[in-house]
Amino acid sequence: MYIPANHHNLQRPLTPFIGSAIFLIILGILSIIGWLLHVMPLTSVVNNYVTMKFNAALCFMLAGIAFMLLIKYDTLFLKILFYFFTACFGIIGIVTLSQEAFTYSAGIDQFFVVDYNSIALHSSSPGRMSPATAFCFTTLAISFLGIGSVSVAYRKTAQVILHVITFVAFISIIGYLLKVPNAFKFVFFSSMALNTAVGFLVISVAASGINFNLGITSLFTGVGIGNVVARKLFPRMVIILLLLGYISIKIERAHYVNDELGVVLSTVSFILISLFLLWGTLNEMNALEQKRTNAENEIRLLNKNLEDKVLQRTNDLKQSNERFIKILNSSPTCIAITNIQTGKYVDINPALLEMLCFTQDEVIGHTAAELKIISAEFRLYMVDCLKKQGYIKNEETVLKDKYGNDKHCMLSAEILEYNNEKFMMSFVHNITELKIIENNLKETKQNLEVLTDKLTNQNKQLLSFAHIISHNLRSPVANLNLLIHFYKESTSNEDRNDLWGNFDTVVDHLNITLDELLETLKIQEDVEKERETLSFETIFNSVNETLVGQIRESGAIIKTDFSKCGQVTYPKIYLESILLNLISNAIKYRSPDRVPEIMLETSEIGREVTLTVQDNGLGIDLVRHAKNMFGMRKTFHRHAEAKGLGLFITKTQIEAMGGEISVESKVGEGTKFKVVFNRK
Amino acid sequence: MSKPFILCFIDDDEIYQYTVTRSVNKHQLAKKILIFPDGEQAMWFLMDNIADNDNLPDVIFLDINMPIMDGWQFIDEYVKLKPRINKQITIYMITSSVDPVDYEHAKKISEISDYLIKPIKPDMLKDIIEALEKEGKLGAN
Repeated sequence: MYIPANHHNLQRPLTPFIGSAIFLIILGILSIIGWLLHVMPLTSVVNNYVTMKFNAALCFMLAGIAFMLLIKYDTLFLKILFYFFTACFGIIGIVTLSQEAFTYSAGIDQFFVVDYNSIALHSSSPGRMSPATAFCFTTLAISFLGIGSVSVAYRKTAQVILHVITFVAFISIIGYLLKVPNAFKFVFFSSMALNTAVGFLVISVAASGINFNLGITSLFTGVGIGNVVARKLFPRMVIILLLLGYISIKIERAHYVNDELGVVLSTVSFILISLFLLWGTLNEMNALEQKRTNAENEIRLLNKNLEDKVLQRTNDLKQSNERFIKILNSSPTCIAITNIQTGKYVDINPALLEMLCFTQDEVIGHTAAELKIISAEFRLYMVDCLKKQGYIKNEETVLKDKYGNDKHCMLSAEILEYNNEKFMMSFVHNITELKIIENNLKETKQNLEVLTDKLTNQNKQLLSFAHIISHNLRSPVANLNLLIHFYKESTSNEDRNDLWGNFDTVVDHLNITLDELLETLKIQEDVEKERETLSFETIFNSVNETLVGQIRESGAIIKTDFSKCGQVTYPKIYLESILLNLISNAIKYRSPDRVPEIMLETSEIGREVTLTVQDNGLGIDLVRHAKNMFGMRKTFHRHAEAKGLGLFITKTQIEAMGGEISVESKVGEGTKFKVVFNRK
Repeated sequence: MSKPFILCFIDDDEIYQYTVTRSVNKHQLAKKILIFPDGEQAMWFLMDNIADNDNLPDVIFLDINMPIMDGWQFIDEYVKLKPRINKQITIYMITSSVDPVDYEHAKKISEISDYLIKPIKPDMLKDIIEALEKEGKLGAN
């Protein structure tokens, strides 16, 4: 269970393991084929060498399959198969060993094939594998069982056993390589066939690779510099030692040198070669070390750069902070920073302090509500706004300074996050002065409007004037023109005298018109006529005296009610003229069917003084005449005295003083004039 | 031999009335002259003689500024009356006003043939009548 998991987890290449398993199986099969077909080289590699026995070949095949399963098994079935194959070759090993130990025959040695070769050599036990081989198979089976164990102790044991197998196989191979004869008394090792030894070497090394981090294997598989040295040095040393051994044995056998000299020579050459080996390794090590140093330097450089950057950023931050403080302190805009949670001032700039007449110490650590700058409710409203929309823009409000004076302000705010705490950054614009200016502007605008009204009025009057001049003056002149034309053409004296009479009429007209115009012009000029406080009663009495003739003649009844407003501030001549015109009009246009009744009444609303004059006279068709009601030379009745001038002058006088006049009338019922003296 | 037309002058100015009468007589421009001192009296005359083409004027010279019913008001009334009149009447607006507002107003009214500014000289009157006569706008019936 452990192995496959381990393999998959580490994602190590499985090829070497599978390769060695296949190698083992092929080794076994070749030998089996050799035995079955009597091709001896297939069993011993080199002729007349010790053969790999049929049982050993079978065991290799089984071990190869078992090893494959060991690597691969991930189902219970495969696991059982693994145990089966392992047990098979393990039992064969143990039984063979026990035969050797207790000198008996279990009948397995030549169970499959007959070992003619050994029989021919008079071997005591033909077909039996050597004790070393049997020992190796037994221990290999045990190690296979231990490799996959969960327990570290078992795995360590398995590893040690594998190393022992490697050792045994290695000695056998060296024996062959150095051609140390069988009689060398190392029977235990030498009786192992060469191909058998190679097979054990391969499987033991491969199997020890599974737990590569244990035992000697870890020497070569680690990533440390020591492991690198071991990997590089060990194979070379092995090869050199083998070579040296081979050469020294050759030399000894040829008796070129005696034994002692041989030992000395081999020792010296070993030392020399070791020196070269060390040198080469040293160079490689140094190169490696150099690389590491370079890498280290690079890292150090990187580190340095990083530190520089951090320093730079710190500086930038510091500068930006300084800038911020500078802006805060020198900005003409009032800025305050308060903690959103507590409402306490964290920072406040001199502009705001100056506006509110506080010192920094009086403010920092206190809330605006405590200092009565703004109400707690307004602050809550601000915080609410900030939470909802993230900012406040140009909110108009009133702050109070230290002495309770109102400061009209435009307030903007934003959220500032710092050290995981939220702050409100408020910008305050003092608009108190603007407010004053605004009020002044409003007043000025009002004045301008009054002035515009006045000007519009004057303009209207001017227009009406232009009209009067164009008509009232041009028509007599045109008449004169024509009369002169006729006069020149005239041949009889009688005719000329007749024309003269007409000249008289025209010139009279012209004179009257000019006088009237002058009169109205005077009113226009005297806009700033001196006002005085006048009693309606007094003025009415004096007008009454002037009109006494007309009143008596017409039998008019005039009633007055000045109780609601007895006085008005007005130019005396104008008020007399207005009353005179309105009353004489009322009498003039009386109805022949009724006794004329005229009602004068005053009232006052605010500063507005109003006079109404109502009669029961002829009345005027306002639908037809409203437009011309107060125009010059407009008459609406075929009346001897109608000149069409009275109402025009009245209107001019009233409007020149900033008032107005209006009329209500019904034909046959009467007319009501309403004078507002001061429209304000 | 005077021309067979009836000319009507509506104006409150007595001198004007005198001069135009004299001009018409001098050139013998009409068989009859009608003179009214205001629009209302002229309107009464038209209504009284609405079916009598022999009494209705061929040309009306209308002043703007008059008491009681001025020239504009007369035109308003005339427009209402016109469908019942069976005679082609040419109307001239006559005024001493040089006010462009009046001129613009006159131009908008289709019943008004032209807008003349006083003084109306005798030759001018003659030219107008003769021009109308040539165009065939006079004495059509």
